[in-house]
Amino acid sequence: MTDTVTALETSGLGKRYGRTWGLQDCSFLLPQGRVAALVGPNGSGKSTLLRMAAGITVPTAGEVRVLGSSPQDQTVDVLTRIGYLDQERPLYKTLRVEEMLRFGRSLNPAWDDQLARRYLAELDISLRSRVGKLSTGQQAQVALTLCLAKRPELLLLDEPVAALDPLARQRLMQVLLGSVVDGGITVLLSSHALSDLEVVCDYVIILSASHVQLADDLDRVLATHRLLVGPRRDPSAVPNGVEIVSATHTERQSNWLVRAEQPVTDPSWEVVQPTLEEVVLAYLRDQASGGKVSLRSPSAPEHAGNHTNNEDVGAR
Amino acid sequence: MDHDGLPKLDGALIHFRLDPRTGVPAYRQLVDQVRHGVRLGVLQPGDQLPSVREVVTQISINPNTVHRAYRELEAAGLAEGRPGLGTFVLAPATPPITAEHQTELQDELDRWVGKARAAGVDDEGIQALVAMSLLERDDRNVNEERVAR
Amino acid sequence: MTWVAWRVQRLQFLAAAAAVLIFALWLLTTAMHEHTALTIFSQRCSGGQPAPICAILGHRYFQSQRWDSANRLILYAIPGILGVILGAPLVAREVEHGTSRVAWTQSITRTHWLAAKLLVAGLVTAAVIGLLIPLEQWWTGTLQLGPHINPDTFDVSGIVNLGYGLFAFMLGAALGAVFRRTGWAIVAGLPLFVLFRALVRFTIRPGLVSPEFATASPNPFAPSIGNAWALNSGYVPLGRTTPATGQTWNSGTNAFFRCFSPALKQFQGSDAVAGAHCATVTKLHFVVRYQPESRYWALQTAETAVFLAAGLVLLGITVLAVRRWRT
Repeated sequence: MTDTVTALETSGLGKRYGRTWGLQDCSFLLPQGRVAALVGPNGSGKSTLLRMAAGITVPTAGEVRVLGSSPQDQTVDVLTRIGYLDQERPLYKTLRVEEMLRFGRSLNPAWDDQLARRYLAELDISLRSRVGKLSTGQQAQVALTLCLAKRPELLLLDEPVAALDPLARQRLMQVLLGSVVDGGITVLLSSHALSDLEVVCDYVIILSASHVQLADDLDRVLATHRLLVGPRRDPSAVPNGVEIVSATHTERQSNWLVRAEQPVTDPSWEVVQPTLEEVVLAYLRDQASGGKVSLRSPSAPEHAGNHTNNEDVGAR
Repeated sequence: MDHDGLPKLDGALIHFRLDPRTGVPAYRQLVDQVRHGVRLGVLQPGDQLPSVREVVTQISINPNTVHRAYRELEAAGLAEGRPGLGTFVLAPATPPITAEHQTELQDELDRWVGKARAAGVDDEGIQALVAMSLLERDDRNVNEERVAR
Repeated sequence: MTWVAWRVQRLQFLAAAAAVLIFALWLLTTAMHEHTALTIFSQRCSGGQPAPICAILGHRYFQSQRWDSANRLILYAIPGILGVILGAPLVAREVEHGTSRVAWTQSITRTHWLAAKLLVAGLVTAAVIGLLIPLEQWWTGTLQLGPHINPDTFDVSGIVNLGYGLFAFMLGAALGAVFRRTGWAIVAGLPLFVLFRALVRFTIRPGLVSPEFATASPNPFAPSIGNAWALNSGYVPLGRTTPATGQTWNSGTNAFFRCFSPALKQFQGSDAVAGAHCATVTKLHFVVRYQPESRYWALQTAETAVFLAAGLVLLGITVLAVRRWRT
């Protein structure tokens, strides 16, 4: 049995395009059976990571292992067990939908044609239509069907819900989560929309500035991160054993989002449980400093894109 | 059509729903909804709770969350997992609410709300007071049950 | 995968086949017309007593030949163009449209994928060209375009076309796999194909099968070689069939004529005497290096083999480019 084999494992993984590193020093371990969210702004390396896991892109540095094997080996065994949805949802535009299904059937031994037809029928996508004539959302659904009907053990989905209307989104989640319940499948999906993912995922990977900021079980993330609220003060006043992720300040008040293994008991701080969204935004906000933030004086200019939480309003 | 003329949606006895904005963890909400159902008599002892798969299909929620909720219900003595069959409701520690009780409680509540208003507490303040009281009570109950075991 | 390979490029295949078919019909029409005109003219006008109508029939025959050069040019061009156009998009188009990311994340290896695509498209190329060959054989025969061994006719008749076409196909595919752009593959492929073909024609073909030599010795003048492809001819030292080392075919000829021109005056315009005299003096004789018509099929096979071998090298490059390739 492959119970002890991790679904996806990276160590020092990196990809360079010319001079710039699209992804750098990426190391994490995703256990099987998880529904994992890969979050990060555009250009943070999400697509690059997924492509390397799918074996389409070759790493410049480090290595990635999928279900115990290297995707670069390209053996039929590995290929059968991974399903990949590319961000651009490429499809053969001149084929009809049913011909795309035949494509899937011809190239995948584990193809579940029933699942594919049922899924498309529920979405009202006619099998006779030409793929090129479908709307963007419908094309995305066809591309998704191709991945799902392949019955892989690991699904790598690049922004699967981006182009979908709420009903289609629900259908997708139903199918995905149904497969997870049935057993044996791990899902890694990247997304901008955090709100959908918080309830669906149980593992979070935060990418920012081409680095992995955080990769852990959702429960652990929520358990080890706290929002410390108190009167405005210096970072040195923050309790020991606590790592500052991000801070926002007003004239009177400081909010620190911190990571702490032990509970914070300092009475001078109000300790609040942050939501997943707050944690993610904290990491995304302070990427350049790698999580360490210095006190900003009232006259210092605000960083662009900061203060997406409405706790802070600059005193002007 | 069901016997009372209302259309039956599917085999499940209750439909869960999640409110993402309350700040209450998802598994908690499920637990609360089951408790609520039992107290109101919607769920009788012996009724089968929706399977994990059914819940996951109804509302897009991680299967582990459902597992966790059901485990907590088991720990609280409200439900029982039977391998291969599913999770079933047990007789509650407290009997379901009767119509009489309900009217009585509602009257008392009305009076209390009147008092709070007179004291200058606004709607949010009232809700905060109620939430706090419930939380403290719940924590107390959970601790008592753990100790009793 | 075979169905996939066919279906994805189906339109291209059908369009290519249709284009060639249309041209084939055209070729048939013009050739029949020319053949008929020639037959009628020959029947009526080869008796030595030309009837007034012969001028008209002759003119009609002459007119019917006006498409010959153009047709020959097109036949030259078909294998190369067809091959490159069918080969270039094989890999390049999929990468351009991103469908390679779908194809390479199904349950087959890239090698399997590539093999199937090459096989299907290659077979189509071979089939279209293969059906053209009998037509070419008939055309060159019927219109009496000269000995088939002559390059002009050699290139547009026989199985070399298959070699040309498959080589062009592999060239297109390899360039497409390396450049990842269909346009670039075609733009680079066509001239490269022409270059390679010219290379083989001028440096490899003459020696593919050892040429024959003919000399009229002791007659110093050119012998008759009948239907053949003359490669080189000129004066070379007695006892040799090729120029002396360091000498060209021309230098021997120049040397002979340096003697011959004054000798002609000396012997009062008698070619035979002047020639015999110079042969003795310069110790040169006239040799023709040639390929006889009987070598036609041997040469065709050999040259086809050259192009197929080159095609195999390109196949290796294509496989390498697809396997190693990752964006």
